[in-house]
Amino acid sequence: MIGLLGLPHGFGSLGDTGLLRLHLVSESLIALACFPISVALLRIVRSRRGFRYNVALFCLAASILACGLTYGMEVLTQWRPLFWVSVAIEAAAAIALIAVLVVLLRITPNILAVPHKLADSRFRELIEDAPDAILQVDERGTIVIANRTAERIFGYSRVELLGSNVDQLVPQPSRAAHAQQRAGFLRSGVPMSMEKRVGDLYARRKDGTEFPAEIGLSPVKTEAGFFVTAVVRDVTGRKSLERELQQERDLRGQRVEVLARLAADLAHEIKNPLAIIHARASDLAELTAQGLPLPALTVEQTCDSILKTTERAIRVIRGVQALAHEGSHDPMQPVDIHGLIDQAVELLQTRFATHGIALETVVPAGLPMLQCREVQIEQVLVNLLDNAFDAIDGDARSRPWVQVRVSMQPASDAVGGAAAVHIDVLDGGPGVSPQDRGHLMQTFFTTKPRGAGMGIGLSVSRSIAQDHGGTLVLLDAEGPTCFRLTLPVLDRQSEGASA
Amino acid sequence: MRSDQASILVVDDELELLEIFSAWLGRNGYRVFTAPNGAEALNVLRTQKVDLLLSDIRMPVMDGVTLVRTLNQMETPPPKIIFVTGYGNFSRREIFAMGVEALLDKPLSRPVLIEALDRCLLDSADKWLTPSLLPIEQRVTLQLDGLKEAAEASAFTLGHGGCCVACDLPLKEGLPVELSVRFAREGLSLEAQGTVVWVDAEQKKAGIAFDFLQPQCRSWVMAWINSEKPRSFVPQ
Repeated sequence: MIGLLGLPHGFGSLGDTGLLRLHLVSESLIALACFPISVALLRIVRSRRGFRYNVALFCLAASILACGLTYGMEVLTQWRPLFWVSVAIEAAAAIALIAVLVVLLRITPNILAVPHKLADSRFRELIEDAPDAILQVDERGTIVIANRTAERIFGYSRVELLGSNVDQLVPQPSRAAHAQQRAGFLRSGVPMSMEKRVGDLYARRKDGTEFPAEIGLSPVKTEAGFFVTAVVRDVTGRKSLERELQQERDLRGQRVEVLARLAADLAHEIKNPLAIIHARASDLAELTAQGLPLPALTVEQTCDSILKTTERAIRVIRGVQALAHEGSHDPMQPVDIHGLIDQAVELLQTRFATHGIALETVVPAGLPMLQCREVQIEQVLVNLLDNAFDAIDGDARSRPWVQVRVSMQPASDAVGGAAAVHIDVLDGGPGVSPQDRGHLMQTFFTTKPRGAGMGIGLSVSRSIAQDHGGTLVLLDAEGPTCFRLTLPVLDRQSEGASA
Repeated sequence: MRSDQASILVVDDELELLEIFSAWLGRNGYRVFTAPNGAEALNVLRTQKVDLLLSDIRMPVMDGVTLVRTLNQMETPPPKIIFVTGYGNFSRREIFAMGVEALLDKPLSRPVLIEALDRCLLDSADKWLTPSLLPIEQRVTLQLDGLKEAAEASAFTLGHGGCCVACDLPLKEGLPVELSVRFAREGLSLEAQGTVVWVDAEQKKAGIAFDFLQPQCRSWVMAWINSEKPRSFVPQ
């Protein structure tokens, strides 16, 4: 046996071989366990380069390795007196442990800062129930993370979302483009918000319906590769609000357009009466200045002319005032169709006459009252007449006539039993080409020369008609161009009741 | 030409104005014809000798601008033309270039109308005899190569009643100006007083109608007008 003198742990002096055996086995096991532990730690350090606790792990691995060697030497020294080697390894283990202690003290605050389980779950809830859908997709477009809002907005369960391709959430027509954009985005790697593109972005639900969406994208770089986080907001509500605002703006725009045209007409319509009044008055003044006698008849005729001309000017101004009036918030009131049409016609009569276009109205007697916002319906009529005017004036093939024809809607065509009246505006213009027919009611579609029309008249007119529970259509029939405005009328009883 | 010999065609769709204008002109000794639109005016012009056309711009059937364009295309030299209008939607520049000699705004008084008619009926040389009484507010001085070259370069173009100049000065419509233009090639100079009748701020151009020409340049300007016979009163 090897001499036991100088054994550090002093078991040898006891001379108990059972105890010594147990001691040797245990120490061997500790040594053997220490090696794989340190190897495992070093593997983590090697494979997770850049992990913030790698230094600590390395020190720990080194100290465990050193401790294992210490125990191994303990066993070895039972047979070979390698005391210096053993002590050197012990010293190395001590240094490694001190290093572990130092590193541990340094990283403790960081470790404490890592949210514990409760905070982590609250953070998760925050993501889950965020007001917007949050998705993360990998480079190939496969969805790897989806929150609860995403399930709700898109109508897919999480199981369906995870693992499927994000392109399925894009409407069919833009899918191919989307895949390309996704690739481009991954290459550029710059976060982007698609807010500015509201209006052209749509997303697709499971049931195939689409909704306007606002989408923000940011790239995420991880050890496992590139990912893209997408935040998708359903902006349906805002879009409809925007549409309403747009409609309001169009209406204002149309009014401005009509007013601008009228301003030129107005200058002419007012300056002519003013010229007459001015001339008549200056004639009288001249006679007086020359001390010539003023025959009563001359004075009477002059005054008569001035009065008549003034009234004419006032009528013109009244018509324009009515048109400039806001109107859209007016209450619906019973309005006489006859008067309404006369007013619109009066406003444009001069321009038509100036261009040699006959403007005629055919209104049967005994029509019921319209329940409407007078100013708005007058605006629609003026607009239709304006269009008829432009159609004729701009085309040599046209015959110069426009007719406003009113008729009761046949009871058989009545919707829901409500009585309605047709107000048709017919013109001798060249007609609407088949390819233009489909676009006619679209906002900003115009067949007029550049600068002559903004293309909002018909679409606004139609929305006014719809607001009134009516319609505005271009009749398909052969013959002259005919725009038909159909509006519900008050039946005799309710008319009696409201009167 | 004495006013009692001159014949005037008044064209306006406002019949009451037509009547008033006729009465005013008749009182001054002019021979007066009337027409309610351009087409009727052409009929009158075919059968009558008319020295001056006094026309509205906006009229049914045929407007004043179309009437003047039609007259310009005819072989017979057109009468002198004055527009009277309350309508603002036209290009003053185009109207003077068509040969219209004055543009009067409605409403207007009898003295203003008669003065414009009398002046228009004068021969060009007689029109430019009296220096303006209005204080001159702007002096336009140009040093040019030759008359033809200047016209080709759009720097200066002469019409039968004024000129179009390209200059950076802040000119306004109605501004009385003094004009001094030298043509090096011909050794000629134009010394005139005039009124700005249109301005194109973008192209930095202005139309100036002559009110007075200095005696030394009157003869060459008249000779040039008689030989070139420009249709434009003030060119564009």
